[in-house]
Amino acid sequence: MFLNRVLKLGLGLMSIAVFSQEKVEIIKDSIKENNLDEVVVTATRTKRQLSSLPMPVTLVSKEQIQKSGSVRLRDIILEQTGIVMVSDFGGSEGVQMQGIAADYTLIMIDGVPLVGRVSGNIDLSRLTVNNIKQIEIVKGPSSSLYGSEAMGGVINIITEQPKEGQFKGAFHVLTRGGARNELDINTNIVSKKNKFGIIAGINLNSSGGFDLSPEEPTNKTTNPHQNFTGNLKLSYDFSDKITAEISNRLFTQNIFVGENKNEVTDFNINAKVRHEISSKWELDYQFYATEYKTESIFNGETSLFDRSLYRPEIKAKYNFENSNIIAGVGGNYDALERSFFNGRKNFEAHYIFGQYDFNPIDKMNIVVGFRYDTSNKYQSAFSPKLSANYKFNNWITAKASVGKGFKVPDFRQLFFNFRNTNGGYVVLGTQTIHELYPNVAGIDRVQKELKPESSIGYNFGFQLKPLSNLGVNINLFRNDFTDLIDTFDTQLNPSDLDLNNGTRTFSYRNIAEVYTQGIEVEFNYRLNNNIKLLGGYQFLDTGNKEEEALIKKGEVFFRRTPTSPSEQLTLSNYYGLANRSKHTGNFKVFYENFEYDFSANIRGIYRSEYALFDTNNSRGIIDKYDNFVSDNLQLNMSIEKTFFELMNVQFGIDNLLNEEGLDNKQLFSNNDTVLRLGRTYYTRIQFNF
Amino acid sequence: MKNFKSILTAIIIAFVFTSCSDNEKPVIKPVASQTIENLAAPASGHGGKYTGAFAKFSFKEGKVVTGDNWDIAFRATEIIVNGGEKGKVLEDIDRTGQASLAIVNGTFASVKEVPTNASFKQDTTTALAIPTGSNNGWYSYAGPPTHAINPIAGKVIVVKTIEGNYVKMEILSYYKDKDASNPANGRHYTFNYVYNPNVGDKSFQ
Repeated sequence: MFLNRVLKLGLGLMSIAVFSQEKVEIIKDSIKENNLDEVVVTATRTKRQLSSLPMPVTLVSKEQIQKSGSVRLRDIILEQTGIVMVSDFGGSEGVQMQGIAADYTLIMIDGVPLVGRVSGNIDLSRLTVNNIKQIEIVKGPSSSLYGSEAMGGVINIITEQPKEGQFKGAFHVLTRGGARNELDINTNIVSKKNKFGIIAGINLNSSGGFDLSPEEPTNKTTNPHQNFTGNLKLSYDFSDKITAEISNRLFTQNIFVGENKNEVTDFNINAKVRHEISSKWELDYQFYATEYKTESIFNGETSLFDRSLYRPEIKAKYNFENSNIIAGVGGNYDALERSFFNGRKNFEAHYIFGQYDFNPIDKMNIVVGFRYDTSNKYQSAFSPKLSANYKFNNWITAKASVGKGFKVPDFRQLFFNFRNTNGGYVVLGTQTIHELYPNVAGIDRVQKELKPESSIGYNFGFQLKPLSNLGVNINLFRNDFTDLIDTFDTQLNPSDLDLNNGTRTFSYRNIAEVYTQGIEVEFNYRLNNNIKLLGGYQFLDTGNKEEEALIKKGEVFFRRTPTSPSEQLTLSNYYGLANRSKHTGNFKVFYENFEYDFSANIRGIYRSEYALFDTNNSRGIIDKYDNFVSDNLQLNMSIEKTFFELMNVQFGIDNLLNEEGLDNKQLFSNNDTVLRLGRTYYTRIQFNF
Repeated sequence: MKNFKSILTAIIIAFVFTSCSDNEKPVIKPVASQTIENLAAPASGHGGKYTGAFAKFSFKEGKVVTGDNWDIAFRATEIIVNGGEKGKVLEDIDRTGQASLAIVNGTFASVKEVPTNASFKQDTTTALAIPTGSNNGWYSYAGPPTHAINPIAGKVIVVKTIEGNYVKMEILSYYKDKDASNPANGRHYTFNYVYNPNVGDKSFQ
C-alpha cells in the first residue's frame, strides 16, 4: 500500500523530469565546472583536487547538506558510506568508520580538533552545519598529519571563506514534529569589503527530547535540551602576501534531566597568520585554544568535567616546480579537571611533521609523510604514511596508501581515582596507582607509562570514470590495531591498599589486538541534468585476535539457547566485534527541476544486524548464536521550492517507514540503544539575501 | 522431547548391546544418560551467605536422598561433594564419604572418559571443590538488571561417587522449567549426567 504511494510519487517526479528536459542546456556547463571545483585540504594539508588524491577522501558539499535538510553535523554524517552512528549505553553516540570505534576518529573544525569526549564519543549534535562550506572525510590513518586519535580517519568541517566584494546572508527556521520535536533558528552573514572579511552566525537549537521506552519513564532516551552557537570569523588581508584570520565559536547547552539542569560549554578560538614569502615559500602561524566543560547534577551532587587544549603550531610550505614539501612543529598543552581525579591533570606534548608530495612521472602522484609526537606522560609515537596513485588512462586510476595511527592514553586511563566500595571495586589510573601505592607487592603488574594505542591501516582501490556521467570508487581496507588499552583486575591484595577484604582493584594495560577489514564501493551517476543517483556499500569483517586464538585452542564454549548443552565454538561461528554490521549501504536520488525551481530527494540508509555483547556465556566472545539487533532501513525524503531566489521552503520526512526496531525489545529489554526514533516531519523556511 | 527420544534410543541400544553379550563375558552394566529436571535447592539468605538444608543427590539412586548415601548436594548456587572437610559454607554438613570431583573443560559429548589429567578435589575448610562465586566455579552471574545465574558453557563436572563410580554431569539451568525470566524460579537445577555403574570404570560410553 505504502510502496504504491512511493511509486506514484516517483513516477510523478519522473514525468516532471521529462517535461523540464529542454531548459537546462546552459546549466550543464556550470555543473562540469563544479566538479572541477572540488578542492579539499584535509588529506595533505594543502589544497588538492579531490580526484587527484592518492588516498580515500569523501567530500560532502554544502548543497547536499542543505538538500538533505540537515541542521546538525550528525544528521548528514550518518548518511555517508561506511559510516555508522553507534549508540552507547550512557546515551551518547559516536561515529564508526571502517569498523573503527569513535574513540579513534578525529573530529576537526578547519583542521583543529574538537575536545570533550563522553565515553569516547564526540557528540555530533553539538555542531550546527551553519557556516559550513563542506565536510571532508579522510579514511585510513592520518596521524602522520594530525597526531593522536586520527587512527580510523578524520572528519574535518571546513567553514566558509568570504570572497572580496561578497555580501550575503541567510535566515532560517526549521521546525520538526512527530516522534521528536525540534526547533532550529539560524542566521548568518558572509561579507568581505576592502580586504576585511567577516562571517558571523547565531544558531539556536532546542528539542523536548524523546523516550523510546515510555513504559520505563524514569530515564528518557534523550533529554530535552536548549543550545546556542555563536560564531564569528574576522579576517584581514594586510597585503597579497600576508593575511590574518581569527575565528571564534561558542557553544552553550542546557540539558534538562528531570528537575536538574546539566550545563555544557564549548569554546574554540583559532588564530592564523599566513605569510607568502615568495612564490616558493609559505609560512602559517597558528594558535588554537579550546575548552569543553560540563557541569552535571546527579543524585544531588555536582560532577565536573573541564577539558582544555592549547596548540601553537608553525607550518612551512616550499613549492618546487612539480612537487611541494610541508613541515611543521607544534605543541599540545592538554588539561583535564574532573570529579574522580585528584586535582587538575596536564599533558604536555610536542610534535614535528613533514610531508613530501611529488609526481615522479606524469601519471603518478606520491605523498610521503611522517610525524613524531613526544610527551612527558606517555611513550612517544612515530607515525609515517605513504600514499600513491597511478593513472592508467582517462577513466581508471589505482590508489594505495599505508600509514600508522596512534592514540595517546586518555586522562582517565592514567589518572582515574574511582572508588565504588559498596560495589566492591575501585578503578585507578596507572599513574594514580603508582603514586598512591609505589611499594605494594605486585605493583609491577601495572605499567606506569602506558604505550599509545597504535594501528596500521592499508587502503587500496580504484577510481573509475567509465562514462562522463558515472563515477565509481572501490576501496579495500585493512586496519590492524595493537596495544589497545583495556581494564584489568590487578589482583593486588586489598589489605595492602587499606581496602575492605574482597575489594577488587582495576587498572589499565595495553592488551588487545583487533582488526577491521572490508571493501567499500561508491558510485555517483548523473542520469540526466535533473536526476542524480548516489550510492554506497560497505562490507565489513572484524575480529579480536586474542579471541580468535582462544577459539583456535578450543577453549571457548557456547550454548545455542541459554539452557541447551554446551558446544565448542569454531572460527566459522565467530562473529567479531560488538556493534559491527557486516553490510551497510545507502542509496540517494536527487532530483532538480530548473523550470519551477524546486528539488526533491529520497535517501535510504541500510544497516544489517549486529551484536551488542555476548549473550550466551562464551567468555565475552560474540558468535553467530548470540542475540542480534535486527537490520534496519531508514528512508528520508525532502522537497524544496525556491521563490524568487529569495526564499526557500523545504518540507521533509525522516524515517518515512517509521522503522522503530520494536522487535528488538524481545531480546534486549531495558535497552534504548536497540530502538530507533520513529517518523519525524520538518519544515524549513529560509530567506537568502 | 528430543532429549527424551535420544535418551530412550541410547538406553535401548545399550540394552540390546548388553543382552547380546550376556552369556560369554562378565556382566558389564550399561552406561546410561539421564536428565534431572527442576531439582529444588532452596536456601535462606542471599549473595553467598546461604543457610538451610542441602538437597543431597545420589547418582546411584538417580534422585534426592535423605541419608548419608549422597554424592553431591545443592543449596542455592553452592554445590558440595561428599568428601573432605566441612566448614567452608554456613551451616555446613559432615562429609561422610570419600567422593571427589573435577571440573573438566569440554562439551558434554566430548568427555568420553575421565581425562587422565583431571584433578579431583574434595571440599576443604577454605574452598569447595567447585569454587563459589561468579565465573569461579560452575556459573556466572549476569548482574543487573536480570541478575541471572547462567551455567558457564563448556564446564563438565566429573564426580567420583562415594562408591567409586564415575559420573559426568553438565548443569543446564538454575531455573524451574528452565525459565530464567522470573528470579523466583531460581534454585532449581536441571542437569544431564552419565553414570557408569561399573566401579572404577572411567568410560562414559
